[in-house]
Amino acid sequence: MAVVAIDLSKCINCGWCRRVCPTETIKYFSTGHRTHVVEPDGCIDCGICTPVCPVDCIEAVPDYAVAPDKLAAAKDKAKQHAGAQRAMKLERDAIIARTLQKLHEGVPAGA
Amino acid sequence: MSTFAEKIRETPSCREPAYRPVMWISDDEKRELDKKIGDANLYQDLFTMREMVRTSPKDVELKKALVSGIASAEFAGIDAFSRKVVEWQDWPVPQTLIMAMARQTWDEVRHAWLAKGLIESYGGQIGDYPDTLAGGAPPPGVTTQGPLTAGFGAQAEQLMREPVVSLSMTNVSLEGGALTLFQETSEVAEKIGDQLMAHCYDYNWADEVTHTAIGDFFVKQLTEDNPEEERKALRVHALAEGFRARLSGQQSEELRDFFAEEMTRATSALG
Repeated sequence: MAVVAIDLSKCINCGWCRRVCPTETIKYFSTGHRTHVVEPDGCIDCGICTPVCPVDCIEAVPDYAVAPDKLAAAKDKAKQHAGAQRAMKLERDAIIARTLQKLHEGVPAGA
Repeated sequence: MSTFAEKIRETPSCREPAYRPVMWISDDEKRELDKKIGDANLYQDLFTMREMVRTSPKDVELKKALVSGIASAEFAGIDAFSRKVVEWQDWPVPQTLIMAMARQTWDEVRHAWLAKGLIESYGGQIGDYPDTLAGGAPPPGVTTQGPLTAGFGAQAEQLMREPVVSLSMTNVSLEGGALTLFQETSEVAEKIGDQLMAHCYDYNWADEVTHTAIGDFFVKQLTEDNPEEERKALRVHALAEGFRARLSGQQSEELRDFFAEEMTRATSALG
């Protein structure tokens, strides 16, 4: 298992990686500087952040081993994140289904 | 301040067709929007609008609404960046930053042209739908600059004119967020077989990467060796991120902690 690190010389601080990280282990507002930094002990090697980076500045650090208890805690956090994401998606899907039904049936919104 | 900058500052934005922000449309216009997209209240939520297009790809009206909503941000971009070209002549900023703002203005013009073409390819035109952002002159007594500053009035407007604040808010945070919207919109378009839409948003996406990089580069340069200014940039970024997080329901622990720390700092500064 690997963790990831951000090449700060290339990073443009768009924050996309941070926003998609399921364990919130990519830090920015708490670093004290305008830099995105990965806290490796929270990384579960999920591979979500690497492909979204628009400047390809996230790379694997294969030699870093996360302690088992920290890895378990990070995975728990990722599960909670996934649950919250799923709940939001279901909520949005329901709104969309309702709206499209009204639209296609010609029912006024709010009716 | 130079006379020209003063004149520009006092001149309201205009467009043909005129800006028509959705938050100020009449009840009749709202009902018309309800009929077109099912629920006028969803119009400003571009992520939901995009998912509606994904779910109902044959509904051309939804595509028109989505592209019109995004186009509003392009027009607001033309307006905002071009004003900076003039106003920042009076600020102690490098001339290369002024040139970068001029370049961004033309990028936004191209994006608006692409949006116009895309809407026309669906049989519509700019102005069929209201604007999603507070572009142009607002009704009397209402402050411009959109929802991010709406609650803070003239002071927020003044603050937004500062290069560090403006770059951090617009170039880094908002354009950084636009990366997600554009790429995902392009992906949805690919999925539903709308090659023109996919191509347009892929093109725009590439520009947004550059805009974010420009903003980050100059914020770094303007805040170098100045921790207070750097903190200010971070604070502004956090404000924009917080606004977005409230819309998406995804407030991170880090952001919550940041605001708590800011509150502590402010309380201690007040004694």
